[in-house]
Amino acid sequence: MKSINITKVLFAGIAIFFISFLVGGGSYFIFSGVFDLEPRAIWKWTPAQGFDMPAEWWIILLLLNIILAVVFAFIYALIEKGLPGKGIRKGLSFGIIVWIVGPIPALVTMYLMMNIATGALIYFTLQSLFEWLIYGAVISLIYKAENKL
Amino acid sequence: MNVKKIIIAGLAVNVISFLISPLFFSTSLFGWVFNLEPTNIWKWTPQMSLTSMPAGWLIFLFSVNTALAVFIAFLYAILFKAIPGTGIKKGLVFGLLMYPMSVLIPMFSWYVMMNVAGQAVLYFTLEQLIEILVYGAVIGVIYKEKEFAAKEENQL
Repeated sequence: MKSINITKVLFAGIAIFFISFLVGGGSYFIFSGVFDLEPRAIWKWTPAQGFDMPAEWWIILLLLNIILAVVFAFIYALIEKGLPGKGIRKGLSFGIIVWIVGPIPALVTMYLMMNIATGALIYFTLQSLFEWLIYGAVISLIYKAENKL
Repeated sequence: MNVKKIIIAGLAVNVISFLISPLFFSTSLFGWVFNLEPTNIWKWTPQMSLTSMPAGWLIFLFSVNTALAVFIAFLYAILFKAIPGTGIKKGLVFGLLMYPMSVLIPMFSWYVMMNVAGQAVLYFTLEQLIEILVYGAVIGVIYKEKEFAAKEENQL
């Protein structure tokens, strides 16, 4: 099994944890109109609420977000050699792969099973692609196979 | 890359997904998940037959499910050499690697952003672990590359 640079995995995970708040969170505020599309009852959180959420919600958000961010950087490190491309292109490949197996099936399920505005689903489809391309690029820039401990 | 085996593995996953999903959602087993409040978020529930849904909905379901199943088998083929293990173990590792991407992130988003019952999110999170391990195992059994298949035979 290949050796994995744990320091870089942690660093890449923490980097995408912060970027997710800037890119993901920021885009929700910029495109807040999406959350006004009917039916609105589906949303637990909307940009109109801002930071006004219970403490436990924040704890779960921050804790799971950082764990998942590190897990993704670890998965990248594990499968890096099998990903197409080199350098940042490898990261972009990773972003597209995660987008197809992650957000896409979830959004398809939401379309099929939930009462949710189609406009909101289109927005989340594009926004998640944008986000995952950035995450993939960031991970690949931080994590490079030749720099092993 | 063996394109024929990718397609066979993808189609097998597609068929198996339609066979095992009704077990997880059957009204006698876990259909109650859809009765947890708020129930008004569901467009379709297991209490409704598939044929009660519009034709466009059914076409979308079958076509996207098939496309995604084949893509997952294709992804397995791309990552084949990078996934640890051999045969069914390689497939199970692939399933485990897929789990955070295809289940944990969406379920995390649902919990944080949407009015879905916490128990329902927990149920989907566990149920999909079983599903994805089954899909990984199926792909691992069907998809093998020549030199790896030969190595496995030599090990036996």
